Amino acid sequence: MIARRFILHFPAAVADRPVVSRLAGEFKLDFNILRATIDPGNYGIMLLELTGAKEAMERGLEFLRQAGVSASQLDQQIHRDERRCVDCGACLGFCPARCFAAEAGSGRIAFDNGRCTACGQCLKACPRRAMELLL
Amino acid sequence: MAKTLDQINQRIERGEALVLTAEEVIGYAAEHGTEQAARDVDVVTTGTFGPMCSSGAYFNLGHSRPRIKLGGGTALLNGVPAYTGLAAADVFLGATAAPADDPGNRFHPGEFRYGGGHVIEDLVSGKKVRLVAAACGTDCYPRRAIEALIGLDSINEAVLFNPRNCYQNYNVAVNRSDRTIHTYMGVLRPQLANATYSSAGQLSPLLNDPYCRSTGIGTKIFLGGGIGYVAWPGTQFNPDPLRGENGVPKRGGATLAVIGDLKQMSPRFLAGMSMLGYGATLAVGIGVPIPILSEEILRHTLVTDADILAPVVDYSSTYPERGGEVLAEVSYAELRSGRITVGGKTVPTAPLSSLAKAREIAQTLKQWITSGKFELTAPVAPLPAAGSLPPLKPLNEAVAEVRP
Repeated sequence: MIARRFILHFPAAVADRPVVSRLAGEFKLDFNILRATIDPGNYGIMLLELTGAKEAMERGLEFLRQAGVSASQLDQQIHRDERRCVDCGACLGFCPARCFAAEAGSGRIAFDNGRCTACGQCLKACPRRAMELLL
Repeated sequence: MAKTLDQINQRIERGEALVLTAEEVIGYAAEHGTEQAARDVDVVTTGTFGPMCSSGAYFNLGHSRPRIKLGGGTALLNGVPAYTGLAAADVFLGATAAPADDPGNRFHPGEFRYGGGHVIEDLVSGKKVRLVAAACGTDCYPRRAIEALIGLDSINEAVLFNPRNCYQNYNVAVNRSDRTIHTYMGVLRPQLANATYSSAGQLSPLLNDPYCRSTGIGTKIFLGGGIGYVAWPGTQFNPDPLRGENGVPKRGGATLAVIGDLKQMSPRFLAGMSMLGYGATLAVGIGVPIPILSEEILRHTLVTDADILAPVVDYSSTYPERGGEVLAEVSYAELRSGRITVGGKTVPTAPLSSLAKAREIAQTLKQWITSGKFELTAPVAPLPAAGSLPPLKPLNEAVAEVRP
């Protein structure tokens, strides 16, 4: 079993069709919708966590592609520019998913992108504008 | 047993000096006792890195042919206005200066992505900056406009000169109102949802020298990655803050005006910052060496985060209204733990000042001293002593004069 987070882009033509529910029905993938902005007839974005067998997840993602929905893995979409970060820690206690933590020894601010829910709070909390989110 | 500064400098020269950071000395004294530690330790190094708005730099840009008198004219550096009320080729750029076309907070909260602090960071990064200047034209300075690319290697002097840095202690900011507020202490969510603080605590220069016994005017320091000096007491210097029994200020207290050659400095320790809805500023890295001239001076460097208390202040009402209400006093040990308690409520905390950079600065300064490349200076004049200054004055609005 593996768990992965994805950002799904729904073109307007697909936004009014049941797509995500079939991931559970046909591919036995558990899904958890973390965020979604989908209006029928309009372009939509969904942040989705999928849990299931690795092979089933690959087939599920292929199904999404066939359906015209692009899926990109979230941890590749959120990014900290290490050249800009000065380890101030303004992001600590701000991120609802607790992606940031002060390392005990060095005092540096560790960033765990695996917990990110793409809420975007850190982008503005960061005085160095070091966080980038590609949606 | 008291050492003199000369003896310490001789030991530095011979490579024999024992130099510890303000964190390392705590363990050393615990192991060897304060008396022996005062004998053994020559210098304690400190460090801090955080946004310090009262910062800036002055530049001598050189003279164009034909000459232009920038003095009294206008000068923009990458679109950010510099102060020109000086002689023909000198300008001063403040860290919080905003480009003329910055929308400010018109669309709240403003982003303030670029300002004076960012121009200073660009310059120390080796980047060229665009100067656009205009003047009235005179017989001796006929030119009325100029555009040029300038860099630190192409101008005569570039001097970082910060009127108020290195606050001895500082507020912890919270928000008791019903809406999110955007402050110089960061974004504060409503109803005490988060708290921010800005001090290096046990590593902070003036918390290790609470009565400014060793730090004075002329003290040589680590400034922005290069060498600087304490130029003067910082503005709003208060020698009589509320203190704990250990003598450590529980409120703002002392500040430093510092100066140094910008050309030696590094973007690792001078970084432009953008406080959402508030403005642009500059994060400055400062390290002050403390010569262990007496056991008393050493004892002050043993202060730990648990011994340093800071006031929790509501930035939705008390701060803007210049009120005096303090919601709680919390220690830096609590602040560093990630949560504090205010009025029975657990509040998550976040710093604005970088502990990692503070440690890097204290270690770098230690390395400079142990390798013999940084000797200590005696102050040429002391900073204001307790009881020597009147209380800070507020700014009162003018009242119309009543004439009979």
